[in-house]
Amino acid sequence: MCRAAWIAVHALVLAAPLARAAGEELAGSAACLPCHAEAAAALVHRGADLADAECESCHGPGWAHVESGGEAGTIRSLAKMPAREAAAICRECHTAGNTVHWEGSTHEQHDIGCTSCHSVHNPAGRHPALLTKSSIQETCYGCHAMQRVQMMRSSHMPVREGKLTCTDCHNPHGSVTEGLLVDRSVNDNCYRCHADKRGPTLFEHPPVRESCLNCHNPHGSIHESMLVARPPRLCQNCHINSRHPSEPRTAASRFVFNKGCVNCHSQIHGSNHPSGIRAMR
Amino acid sequence: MHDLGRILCVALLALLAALAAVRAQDPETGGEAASEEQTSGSVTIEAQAVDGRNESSKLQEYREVPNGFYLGQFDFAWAKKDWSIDLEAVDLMQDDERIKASFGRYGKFRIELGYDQTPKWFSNTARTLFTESDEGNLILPPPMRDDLQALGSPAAGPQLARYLVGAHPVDLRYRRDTATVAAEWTVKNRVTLGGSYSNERRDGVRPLTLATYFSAGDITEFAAPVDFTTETGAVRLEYAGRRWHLGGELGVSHFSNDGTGSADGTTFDNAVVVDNPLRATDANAGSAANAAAARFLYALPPDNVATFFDLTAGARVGAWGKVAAHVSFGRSEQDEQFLPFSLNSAVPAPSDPRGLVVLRGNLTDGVPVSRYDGKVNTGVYDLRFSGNPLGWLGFKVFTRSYDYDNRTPEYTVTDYIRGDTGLEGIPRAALPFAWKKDNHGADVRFRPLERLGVSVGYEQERWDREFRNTRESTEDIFKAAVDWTPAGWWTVHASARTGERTYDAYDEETFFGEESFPEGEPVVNAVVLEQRLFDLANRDQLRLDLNAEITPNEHLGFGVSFSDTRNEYDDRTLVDEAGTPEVRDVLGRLEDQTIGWAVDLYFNANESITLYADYGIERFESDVASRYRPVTAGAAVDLSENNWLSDIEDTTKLYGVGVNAQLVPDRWTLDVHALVSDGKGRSDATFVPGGAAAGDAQDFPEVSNRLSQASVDLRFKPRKALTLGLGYVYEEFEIDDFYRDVMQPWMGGVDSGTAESAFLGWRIPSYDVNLFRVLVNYRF
Repeated sequence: MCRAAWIAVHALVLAAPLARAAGEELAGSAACLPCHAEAAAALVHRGADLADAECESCHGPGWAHVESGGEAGTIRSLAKMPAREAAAICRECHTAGNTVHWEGSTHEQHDIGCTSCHSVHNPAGRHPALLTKSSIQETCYGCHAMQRVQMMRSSHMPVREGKLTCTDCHNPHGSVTEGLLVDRSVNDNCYRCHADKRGPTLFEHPPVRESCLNCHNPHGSIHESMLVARPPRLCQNCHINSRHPSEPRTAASRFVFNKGCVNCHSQIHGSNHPSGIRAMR
Repeated sequence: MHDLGRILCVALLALLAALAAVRAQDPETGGEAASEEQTSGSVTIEAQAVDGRNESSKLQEYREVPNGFYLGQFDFAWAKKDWSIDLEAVDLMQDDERIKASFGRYGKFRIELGYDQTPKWFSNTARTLFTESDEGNLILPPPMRDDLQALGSPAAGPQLARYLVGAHPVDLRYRRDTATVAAEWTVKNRVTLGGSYSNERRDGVRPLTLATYFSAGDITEFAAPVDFTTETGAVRLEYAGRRWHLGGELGVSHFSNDGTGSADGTTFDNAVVVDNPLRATDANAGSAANAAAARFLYALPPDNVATFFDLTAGARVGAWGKVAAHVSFGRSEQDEQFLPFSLNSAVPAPSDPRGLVVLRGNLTDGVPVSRYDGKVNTGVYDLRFSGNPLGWLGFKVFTRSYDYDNRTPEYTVTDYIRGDTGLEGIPRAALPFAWKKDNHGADVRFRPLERLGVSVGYEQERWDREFRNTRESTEDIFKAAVDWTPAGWWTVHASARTGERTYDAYDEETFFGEESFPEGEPVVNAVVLEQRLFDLANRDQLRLDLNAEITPNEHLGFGVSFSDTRNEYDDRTLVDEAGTPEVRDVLGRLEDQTIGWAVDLYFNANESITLYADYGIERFESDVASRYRPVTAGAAVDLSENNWLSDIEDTTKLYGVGVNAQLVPDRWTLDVHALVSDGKGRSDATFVPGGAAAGDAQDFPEVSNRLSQASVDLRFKPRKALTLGLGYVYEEFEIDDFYRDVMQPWMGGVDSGTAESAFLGWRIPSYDVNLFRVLVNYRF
């Protein structure tokens, strides 16, 4: 689609129905520039995606605003609108890809809108998603402050090193999975990077197969391998049958140091070995 | 593949940078044509000096900390009308380099290329006696094994210690190299066709352990080869209109483990063969001291393939609602050939006339098989209807299901060889665990005021499981939330959620007769009737969350968060065999809680200076009741005075403070930042007075690790396109971890039970470094 046609689509398809509803008329972007040159320039600098957009594509018919000499309240200001109403404007175009599950999503339900995280005029960093903060993580930490605390723990995924971001695992625009996960379940999410754990295997460890979160905290831990607790205590949540699992143990013991129980039961994610019934081969 | 992708990306970068430079200097391009083009980019060359205790692997766990000159960053963007090219390279030619490139025409198509290297460093203090042979086997010097075998137990222990003094260093690390390509094509207005492919290589070693002689608990730790490839591809087609959308995606992920071991001329896929340090010849259990195999065959992750097909559709209902549906079908398959039960040739043939085999089916009429034939179907459906039919009223109704339908056959192992030492004498079942989770619910949202939303909701979560202690469980969840934006400058989100999970029945002895791990032991390991597994047990959950952001003016911002999740696994009323409720001791996790709060603050003193600070704390605590069950005359003794309690408490605190200052507008900037992340872990154990093993119930030493960072970054822009920088970073990581700090190749001095074990002795030392950095950034 050529530039002129693209502009026409935005101006006519988006703004025209609003104009009809309000009985107002379009002013055209040229009328905006004398007062809002800085905002327009910011758009231009952000690449082709928005450089061609007409102001009224988002802000609605502006003739009344121009006629009033720029009086507040005579044109839509997305920054001042309730988040859900601003989001409805963005959703006129942004309905595809990872945003298809926006309606009914956790963020949408709690009045978090597009402008809560994105700014087309004043993005804070250079991220192509035009974020209000310098990075995806900082954007999320704005509300999810506890995750900032967790991510700084010693045992962590390489998020703070810039190798992963929150959106590698979560889709803030909505998903069909709990926790806004991008994949279909917790484990499917983890297998995206840890396909070696996917199995299935001859001898399985049922809690492993149901949810990695039974033993791991993906947001970080003070224990190795992001475990929620260290063996043997972690394992003793479930394994207290008799003999060695049932003893509390002292610190200077092979049941505790190094990998604890996993020193011997090292195939804890499942074994495909015919002699691997005890997760030892 | 990876080298080629990397070379292509770098070549493309260089070519475009040269092109941009030429165009910038070419007077012929300064006219009207050039004015339609936008070309920009920057290059940052840095030099860094590293000083201090920088030997720890933790410093470079996921990154490279270079010492000397390096290309810190390069980016380039070109656009002309609808066309654009974007390139970005970070830490080029370093261990953690990342390159991204994209090319496209807005509204038409886009192609993206990426290449990323991520190191994973476990430790650089490990030492081993093993060397890797050409066949992929981990071998030891034969004289040493002859010597230790001749000495036998316990004399072999001190001698092994002497050998381990001469162990050679081995870096425990691998690197993940990922090359990606993705393309998207707008076939016509609102119809998009896309595809992606990624190739991920993991290459290196990681620490693994195996018990070499089960009865004595001897352990051998080795650097296991990591030679993994994961290829992932997907194609998708989507229509996303203003009224409805429809999309489908087909994807496949193939994991391949190239690690092989060999023995006596036979190659074993997805396995490693490890020499026994204590023996050079095979022995059957009980036939000799330290009886075991001369070599161990250890299974590495098997190759597997997963495929899926997703279909998503949605339609708006009037101007107030939307119906959306999602269905997904997936399949995971693994069909690797079974490894032999052991390489130990001294183990006698089993009494079963069929030999030592894996049977497809049960013990009596199963058919011997040599491959796994594992296959799991996953099915997902999600249907939701949400909307705001009235300005003050909104709703959401949803139903969702995830089905992990394990179609792998049931197998029975006629017998097995425990620890490569001898026949165990117990047939075992390998069961296809399966589960299904269904969620249904509805939320109603009221909006009594324009900026006040109040919602209440109910959700039911049902689990159906196969081959676990509970078949069905149901959780009733009630939710409430308030979202309040009384003014544009402050917002409050608060929510509460309470859930009550109950199972239909809990069968402690479900698999006792089926001999499946972990249950199914003969008498001495009979199940504990009082135990409830925490992921299955009845549970009461309460979760509270609060988040508030207050920005009274452009100079001041303040935020606070609070979160509290409590779980009580309340199974105090159990039911006896006759179905009569009775009160007994309950074993297993009793309760846990995760509670935390955080505050952050920023203050713009003026247009040039911003001060900020943040603080957060989170504490996780859990209580677990256990029972020491000594074995007397072949039976486990159940006495309530042998109960013991473990109390775990992990606390993490994060402090941060900083200032951003424009000392001279558009000329001099200064960023100063400091943070401390302080983690502490406590694990206590308490015995009932008079308990049989009270001396064994000790509080573990406290675990602590603390990361401290302080940085100063001064930037000067002598010209609009040029920035000079001077930086200093102090980073300190202090760790006190008794689990790891104690590790040496020979641990017999710590635990006499490991006198004949050989560890890698890998530790994660503390570090503190000073990083002095200068940089030159040029924008074009």
